[in-house]
Amino acid sequence: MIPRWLSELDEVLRGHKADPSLLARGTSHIGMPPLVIGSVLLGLTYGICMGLFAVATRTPPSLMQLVATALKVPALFFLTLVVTFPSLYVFSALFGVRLGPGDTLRLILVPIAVNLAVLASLGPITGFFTLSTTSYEFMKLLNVFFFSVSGIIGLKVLLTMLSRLEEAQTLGVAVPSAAALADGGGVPSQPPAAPSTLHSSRERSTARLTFQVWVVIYALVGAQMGWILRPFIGSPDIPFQWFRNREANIFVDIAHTIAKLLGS
Amino acid sequence: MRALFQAIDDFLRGYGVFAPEAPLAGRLRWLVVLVLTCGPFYGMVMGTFSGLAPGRFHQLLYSGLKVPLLLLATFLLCLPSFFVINTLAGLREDFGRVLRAVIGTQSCVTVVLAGLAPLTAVWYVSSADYQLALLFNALMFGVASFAAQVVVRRYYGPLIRRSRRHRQLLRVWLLLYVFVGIQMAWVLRPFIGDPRLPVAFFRSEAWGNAYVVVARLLAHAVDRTGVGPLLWAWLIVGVLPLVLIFVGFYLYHIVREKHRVV
Repeated sequence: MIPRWLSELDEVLRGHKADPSLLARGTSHIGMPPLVIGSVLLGLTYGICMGLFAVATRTPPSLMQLVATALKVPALFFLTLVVTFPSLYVFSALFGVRLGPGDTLRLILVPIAVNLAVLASLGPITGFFTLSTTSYEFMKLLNVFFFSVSGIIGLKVLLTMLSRLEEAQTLGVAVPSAAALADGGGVPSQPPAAPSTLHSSRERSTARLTFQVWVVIYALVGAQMGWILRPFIGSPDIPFQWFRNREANIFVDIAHTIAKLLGS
Repeated sequence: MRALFQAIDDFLRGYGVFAPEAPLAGRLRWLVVLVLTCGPFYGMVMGTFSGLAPGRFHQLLYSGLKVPLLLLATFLLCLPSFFVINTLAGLREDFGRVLRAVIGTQSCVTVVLAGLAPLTAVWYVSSADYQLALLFNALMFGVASFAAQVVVRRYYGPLIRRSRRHRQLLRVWLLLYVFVGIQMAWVLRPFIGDPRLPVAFFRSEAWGNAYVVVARLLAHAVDRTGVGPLLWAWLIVGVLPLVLIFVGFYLYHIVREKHRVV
């Protein structure tokens, strides 16, 4: 038997959750608990791959760092969600998006699951590099790269879903069936018929802009959250700590990391 | 033995069980057999550079093991992310065929390498320079990889005709595979075996990173230009986000294209 979280995750990855005919009826088809469980498990998986560095490069191996990293990766995503969710809800309500807080939350879990799935699938590569590399700087940059790539994919999935939802709900029109979408074929051809609601296209584009701005905020908060929660990899020279002192920010550190990798 | 050569012939021409339309079941076994026979064969020939001296015969064995190991380990490491990206792009239904194509590529690389093995042997006979031997083998691997693109085209062709996203995903696969493969090759050193060093399966200092080494080499080259490393770092910081954004949008483009009308 396939566990529920896995099948739910599979549906998300296949894009079945973004089916306009389902979204037209709201977001109740997105199961929250299985997605959360799936996301946490995927985060743990990647966290373990990432935390291996502290085990491989230190004598004695720092198992605490492994545990800390495994916990921190899912925490990173869910804390970012907690921080940015209220603003998304407030602004989307303000700009006329017809989504309740529950709907918004369910909707955002989908890109987070996608993000973590891509990340976890890159885990073996991270693990391999971790075991074969002693360069802390390289691992840091590789992880920044993997997080960025998976983050961009996740956020784009979010934008797609939101704009679909917008179309499906504000227009309230009949949309193509699931079968037509299943093979990745054609999707919402043209929104047929005249919009029956009061929502003008201008309002819809405002709503879309809200989401786009929010995505940028989410990415920045996420990056900074990663910085607050550091160390993830654990510099080999510094003993294990759960958290580091407050200093600088992630962007300055990335620049210094590159300088170090090239300079020394 | 005869069956093996028949299979190689069919494989290279794409006949019989190796035809693009044929079911995977009859082929998979042969593809694995090809990797596990041709790969070690080239590896052993590669190892003869230092392995023929008395007391060094196990170099042949090591080199023979490493060629299939290199290909299979890289393949396995890249598979999960490729699977997820395929699913995200809405191509899960085709993944069986995609898998056939990429496994076929591995086999083709080893078959071509086996065909090039005599050339390597002749090279060894005519030059005893270790660095040149390294370069020559790198060249042979490069030639084999390029030749394998014929097989990629053969199996990927029908997929690409069905959906253009497959073409982009193929590029993603190649990028990922090369990125991991280079490091894997670095970790699995020595393939040829420096005649002055004792035979070893792994170099004691092998746990390094090919990219870090390249970065250091670049840094040394940069040092000579007289521009400070921090300035270079900031230049790279300027370029890196652009690269990231490009990669991200490229991947997203693949994901989104499935929502377009075909």
